[in-house]
Amino acid sequence: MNFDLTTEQKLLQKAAKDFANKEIEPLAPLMERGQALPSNFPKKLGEARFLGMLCPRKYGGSDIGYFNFILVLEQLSYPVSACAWIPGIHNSVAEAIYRFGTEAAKEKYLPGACAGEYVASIVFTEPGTGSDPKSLTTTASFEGNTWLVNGTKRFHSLGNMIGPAMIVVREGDFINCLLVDKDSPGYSSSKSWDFMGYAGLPCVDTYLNNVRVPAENLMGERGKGFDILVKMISGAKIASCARSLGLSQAAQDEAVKYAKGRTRRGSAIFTMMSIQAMVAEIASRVEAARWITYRVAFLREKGFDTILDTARAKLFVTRVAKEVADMSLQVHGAYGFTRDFKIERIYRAAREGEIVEGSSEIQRTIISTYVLS
Amino acid sequence: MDFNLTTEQKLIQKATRDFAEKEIAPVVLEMEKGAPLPDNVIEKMAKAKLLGMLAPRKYGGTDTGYLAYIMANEQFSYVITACSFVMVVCNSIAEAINRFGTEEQKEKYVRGICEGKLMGSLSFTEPSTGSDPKALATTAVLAGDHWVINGTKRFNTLGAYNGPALVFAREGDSVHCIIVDKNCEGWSSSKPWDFMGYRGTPTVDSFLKDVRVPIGNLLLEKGKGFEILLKIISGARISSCARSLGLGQAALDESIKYAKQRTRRGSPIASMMSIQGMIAEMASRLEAARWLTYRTAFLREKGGDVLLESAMTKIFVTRTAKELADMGIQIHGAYGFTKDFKIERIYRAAKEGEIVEGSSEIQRTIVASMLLA
Repeated sequence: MNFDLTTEQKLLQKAAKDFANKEIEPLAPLMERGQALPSNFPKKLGEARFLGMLCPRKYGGSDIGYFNFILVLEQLSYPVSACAWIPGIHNSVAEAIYRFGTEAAKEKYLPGACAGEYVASIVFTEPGTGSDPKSLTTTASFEGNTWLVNGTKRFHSLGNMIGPAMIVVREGDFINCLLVDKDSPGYSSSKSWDFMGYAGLPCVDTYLNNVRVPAENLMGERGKGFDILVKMISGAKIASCARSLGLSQAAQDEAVKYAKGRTRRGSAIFTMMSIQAMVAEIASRVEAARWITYRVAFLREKGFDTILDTARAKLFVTRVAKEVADMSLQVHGAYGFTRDFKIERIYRAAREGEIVEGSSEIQRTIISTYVLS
Repeated sequence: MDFNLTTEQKLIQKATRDFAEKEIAPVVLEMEKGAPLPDNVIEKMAKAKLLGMLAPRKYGGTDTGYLAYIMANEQFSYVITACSFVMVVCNSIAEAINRFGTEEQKEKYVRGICEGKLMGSLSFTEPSTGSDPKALATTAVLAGDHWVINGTKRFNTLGAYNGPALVFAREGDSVHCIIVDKNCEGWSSSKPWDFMGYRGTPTVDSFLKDVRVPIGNLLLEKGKGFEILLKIISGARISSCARSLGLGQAALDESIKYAKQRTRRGSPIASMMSIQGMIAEMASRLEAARWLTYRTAFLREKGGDVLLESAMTKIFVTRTAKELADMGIQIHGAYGFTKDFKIERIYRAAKEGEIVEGSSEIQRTIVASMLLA
């Protein structure tokens, strides 16, 4: 057993941290006030080698391994900005294309994806279901050499950015995952949903109207899409943990910074026991959240079936993020309730973790099924 | 002992709620997007007799009684509006001047507040202190028959509107409460602070530069500033609880509405035990919060200064509001994280209760010092 990071991992963390600080942190407050995600941002990420982290070099990826991907994501999530959703989602989908796509699909999409010319996305959710595959209504029928896709998808993050979208569809009683070019005829997007946190996240409804998809864009075996989805989602869950982790660390650092600077009768408020208690709670919970996340990332890299572990990690880590954001805001007093302070957007953003990419209720269902069987 | 509402109380509840739904709810969404408080809203609130509920009829008030006033606050707050702060501040200042002021002061200010022509402000907080009177930096110096006041007040609700501000200023070691006609010479205000919730709240920084007020503007006596503040604050605390109650009820109602219509495999999610559990928790906590608040308001109406009771109540009720908002979002799933649903602004607003009008840390200090003395 070894809990140390290698020198290479530390360098990778630093590179990600520097990028986040330089390219994302200044952008975040502007986006919170309504500025759009800059259109050249995926290119910047591509140039920094953050868009092919789970793809082999032969496609232009950097193949750093799953654990290191999570280390990078944690750092990119520190500014608490919609920008970091791109590497989180994109890399997970690119990995799925690599693992389950045909060779033709890999050749077609992965080099562009790794360079930041394509932004990959995934959508399962529809207006009528976010968690239940049996309720899917988007259909795909196969004729000749082409799939024909019809339906509406909801909350499709990055769904309006050119590139491949992994769309989960039903064919009779079976589920398939199809890669759909987001600029296909018949593919259109609503305007973006307006969220409480992570302002500026491009997240749309997707309308598929007789969208034609070539046979080579089927992922894995026909009818076996649900298995692929489950495997892919467990990665998305860990990415969600990394996002919560970066946010939690930011909440902690902001609380410490504020408590050291704000005075009462000449002494910093961190000398007060109630403040000390909150900061201590925050620090302990973040530490626990970190190591459960790192362990599950490690397991996934090793190839273990991590369905139970990822569910436990997500349930825990996303709740910690909400709790530490709350305590940190409390440390800030009324200033924490104003948009002048980073903690305000941290608090609004923290809430998504327990909902998105599998709500905590679903995680509890998964865990209890395993544990009670 | 009698837990029944009187006919008058029920009428006040209904009238206030109807007013809020009809006149206030339509402007809330625009304010949440960044629009300022519309000019005619205050006039409407005055016409509806909401600004002088604690003032005698001879000054144009309705002398409703403190408990009924708290119930009115609760109903008004159901629409989750920045206008709740207008209601609380005006009523608090009118009550304070009526309680501690000279006949001349009452004539000059109380009627104006009741009629919506003058807006009160409670100007205690400064950049360096929100809770500590010993740290006040605003000074008041006697110059002949005038006070000359210098300083900066922070988070001064209605600070930019004409009317009487109760300014807490120090003269040496003494703290006085002096009535200042806002927007007099030397008084200026910043633009409003941008808050996470209750957006559009007209809360500003106010700058007092050699502000001259007649010596007769002193409220009560020299050196009584802190005592006055504590008595006003005990009322403000309970109003804060009322605001939390209105918000909590809204969270519960929204959640029930959503759970009954959102379906999973043809059945409403209200049939699922995890959702039922959350609804039940919300309803129970709200009920406890409500009766604790009403009892504390009842004690204050009977003439007690309820320093201990109001502190205990605020700790519990404001935390309850935050918890209910949190469970409310969870029931809504991802929709709860979008601005399309009321629960989103309920969640952003709920957090202020544990901070404003005496943070939960201060309440804990008060409770502990009284119980451990």
